[in-house]
Amino acid sequence: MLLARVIEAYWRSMRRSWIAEAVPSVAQPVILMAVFAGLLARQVSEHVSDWGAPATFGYAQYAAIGIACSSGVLAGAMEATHSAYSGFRFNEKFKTIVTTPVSARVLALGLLSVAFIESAALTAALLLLATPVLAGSGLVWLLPFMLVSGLACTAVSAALCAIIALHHKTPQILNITGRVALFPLMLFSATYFPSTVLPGWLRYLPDAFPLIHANVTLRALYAGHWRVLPVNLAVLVAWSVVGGSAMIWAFGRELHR
Amino acid sequence: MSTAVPTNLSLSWQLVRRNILYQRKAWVAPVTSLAEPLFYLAAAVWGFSFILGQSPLREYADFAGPALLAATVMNGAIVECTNNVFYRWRLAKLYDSVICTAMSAEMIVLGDLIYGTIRGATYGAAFLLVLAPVAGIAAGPAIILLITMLPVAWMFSAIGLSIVAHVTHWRQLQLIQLAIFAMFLLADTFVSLSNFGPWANAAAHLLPLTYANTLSRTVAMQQWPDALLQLSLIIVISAAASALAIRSIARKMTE
Repeated sequence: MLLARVIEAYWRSMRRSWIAEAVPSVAQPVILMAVFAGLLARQVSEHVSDWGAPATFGYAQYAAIGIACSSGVLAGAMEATHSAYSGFRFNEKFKTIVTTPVSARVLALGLLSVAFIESAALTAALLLLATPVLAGSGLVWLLPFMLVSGLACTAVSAALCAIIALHHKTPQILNITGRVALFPLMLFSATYFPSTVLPGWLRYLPDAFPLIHANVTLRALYAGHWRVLPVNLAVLVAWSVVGGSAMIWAFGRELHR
Repeated sequence: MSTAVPTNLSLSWQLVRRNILYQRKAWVAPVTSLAEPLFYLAAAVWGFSFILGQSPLREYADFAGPALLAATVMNGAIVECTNNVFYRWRLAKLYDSVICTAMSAEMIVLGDLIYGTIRGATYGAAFLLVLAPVAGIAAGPAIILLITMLPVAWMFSAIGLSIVAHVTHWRQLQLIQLAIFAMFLLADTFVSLSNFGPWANAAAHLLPLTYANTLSRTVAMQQWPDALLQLSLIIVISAAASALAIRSIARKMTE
């Protein structure tokens, strides 16, 4: 009950600026899809695949799936990042909220739920917009897995941000997180090209984060390679549990000290 | 109202000095802004070259690298002249105080125009330090490339100021960022205009970044007649946008 009230309160606050939030969130990935899955794909003659898996579709599908998945999960991550930082530092409303019956744990779970809902809604919208490129039965299996991916990435990034917010007092940390962490993560996590083409140790770096598992598994599911599902699903569920627990711990530590 | 450019540049320079001093304290945002084009360059060299099946890898970097240089200059100049000017003018109300001094609205705009140009060119210089060895640009063309990025920075500063004159709420800045992002991707940066249909190709030629990208590429490839043509176009656009910016902002500040 309290959790539902927290989600409702977040939602009310987001509604005030929905045009400024929603238009760029949808328009940016659509432009990316048009350029990479539409225009750049015309120049690519061969099929592209991840980790040496057999390539069964063209670059248009490769890029469309990567962009839809990454944009969806990163929208949730950014929502969690900004809301967490704003609640802790800009207006310190979290400190007021925990003086009511709403606990730090419920607050953390509420934020996670809102970010996840935003991520899921954007992912579904992008998949719908990508149907001219992603026609076929494989599309049906993408949405549920995208939801799990969104939850994992949102939980991890929200947890990291909440922990960073414990130690940094200025909003510049949001710039650094977005430009130096989330942006390269999206670029190099097999969104536009396989991570195997990266040189040396750099190719192993994205493996430490959940996004690459989401991208690779989604493409495998689209192509009908079910064997990859159990391992990657387990990895993403583990990330969700670890990220969610870390977020609850960080919220509790900051708000009850 | 007079819209003539003031002749007393020393007062405008005071504003430039103030912005430089302020920026020294807030250095994190500009430094992290530079990381973004460098990541794109890395993606072009390692990733998109592979996707396009080009060997050696430098081939695609030669195409995308100079365009990324122009886009970096654009970002530095336009972010300064939209977001930061909006903050100083509308939120911090700095210009309400400045205009009570000997400085006129035209001098304020001129100061911001100069500072935006300096910031854009500085971003370009930093990016060029990485690009030149990656794309194999020799020292001579690299220096000329840097000089030609000054009018590019001027053009985007002027365009940014012309737009920010009509911005009344910070949420509108997000839409400007979206427009810049679309221009970045659709202006011959990663994908050659030859892949565009006739209408999309014509639309791409309405984007100022297309001319900046072409200028950057032609200088890097030492195609001087084409470079001069693009440079002339950019100077004409810059002059027109500067006149518009001075007129629009001066009117809004004094009304």
